[in-house]
Amino acid sequence: MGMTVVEKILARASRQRAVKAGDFVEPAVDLAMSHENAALVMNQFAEIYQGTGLAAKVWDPSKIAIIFDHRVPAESSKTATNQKKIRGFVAAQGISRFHDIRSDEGGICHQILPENGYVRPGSVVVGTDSHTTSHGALGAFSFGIGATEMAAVWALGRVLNVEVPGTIKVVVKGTLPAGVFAKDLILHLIGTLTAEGANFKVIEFHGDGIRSMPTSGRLTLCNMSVEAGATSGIVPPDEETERYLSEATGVRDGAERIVPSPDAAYTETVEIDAAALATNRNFKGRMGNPNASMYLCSPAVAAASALTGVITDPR
Amino acid sequence: MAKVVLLLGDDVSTDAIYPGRFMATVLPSEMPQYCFADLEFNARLKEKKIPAGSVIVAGNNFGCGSSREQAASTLKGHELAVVARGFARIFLQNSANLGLRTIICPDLEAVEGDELRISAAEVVNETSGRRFAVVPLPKARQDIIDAGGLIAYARAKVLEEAGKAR
Repeated sequence: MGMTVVEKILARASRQRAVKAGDFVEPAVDLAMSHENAALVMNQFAEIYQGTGLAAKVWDPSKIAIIFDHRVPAESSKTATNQKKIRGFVAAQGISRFHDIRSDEGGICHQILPENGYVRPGSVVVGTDSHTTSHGALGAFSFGIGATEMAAVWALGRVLNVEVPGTIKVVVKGTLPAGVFAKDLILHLIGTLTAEGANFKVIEFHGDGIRSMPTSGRLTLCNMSVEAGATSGIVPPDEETERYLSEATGVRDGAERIVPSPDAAYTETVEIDAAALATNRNFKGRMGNPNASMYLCSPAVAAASALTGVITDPR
Repeated sequence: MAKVVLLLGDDVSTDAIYPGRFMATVLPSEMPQYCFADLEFNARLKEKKIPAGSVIVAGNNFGCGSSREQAASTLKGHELAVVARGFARIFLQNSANLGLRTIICPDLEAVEGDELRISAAEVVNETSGRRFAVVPLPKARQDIIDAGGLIAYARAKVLEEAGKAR
């Protein structure tokens, strides 16, 4: 039996010939991302070394990325103090992929990572953020972990006790109608799978509707895969992946790309007719005051509604 | 025996367990005060009306949403246990890492005030007299729990590797 793209990535990262869903592995990490919660990671990292007599030194400072984006600018003295402590840690440990609150280098972590060429196809990426699933858009196995788990990654360079996830194959056929975007596609898929339908699983995206979709759309699909509970979303690398890497980041590594075997085993296959999809809108959001009228909607709905002042169909 | 002190439905998010506005807190000792901060349950915790070892019963997908481990930490701080029909992946891992007791019990039926007897194999609802099977955690996660959490587990690995390098 062949392997899914994530099974192949985990086999390579854990130096095994083959792995299958349900196995436990300790994959080597290529990129470990945190944002402001690096302050909690630092705390737990120091705890690991407590009483060992060893210096608390990260395994590889070139593979750690820290981006301030959740509390910018600091909303409290507590946050400001945390950010100051993180800056000190970054300097002491020699962490180079640090993006401070600055107009020339700052930004949202899930955009900073791909745009700077930090994410490579076939790599293992972890982040202390549930939407770390985003980076599967470039063919990486990228998933969210907790702060203590990240502290262990900083110490050891690998994720301990990772269960190889099963994979749901999603085949998107045809092209999206005018005014309907990747966001609508993923909201439709979450509705089909339910909020826990992909729990402990990876969503692997296929079909001509994906091949013709730019990386920006794929980032949206993978970012929101976690809303169906998915460990990660992933798009096997193709010509568009190479175009993005080359044009947006200057990466032309010529490396062989990891794609799934034709006979890989999937837990289920979901087919979506892209042409039949419509704009989604008006999901209750989770930001702000719980009693406020806040909605999760497609960016096109948000843009159209901003122009009219009422929730508006962008078509 | 453990009393059910809170009954919740499906898809309880980490935002409900530990609201995002308290995320600047990085000391685990400060996290318990914000447990279910927007529920009346928080007041009962603060009035110390909830004894350690009490149980929260929930439906499917408990702990979905954010990866914040404050959600597991805050419950651990009160030494609560969570018996749910199912858990979201990151929350379940964070719980093992921090030593929060989580029990997967897909068919559980219980209401607030029920007394539960929890073992590795089953949950017995002593109030209703019914028994429900427990789904055991995979060995790899149980190993972390048995080590006393991920800090201790990782510390042992760090020492082991430092020994090899010497």
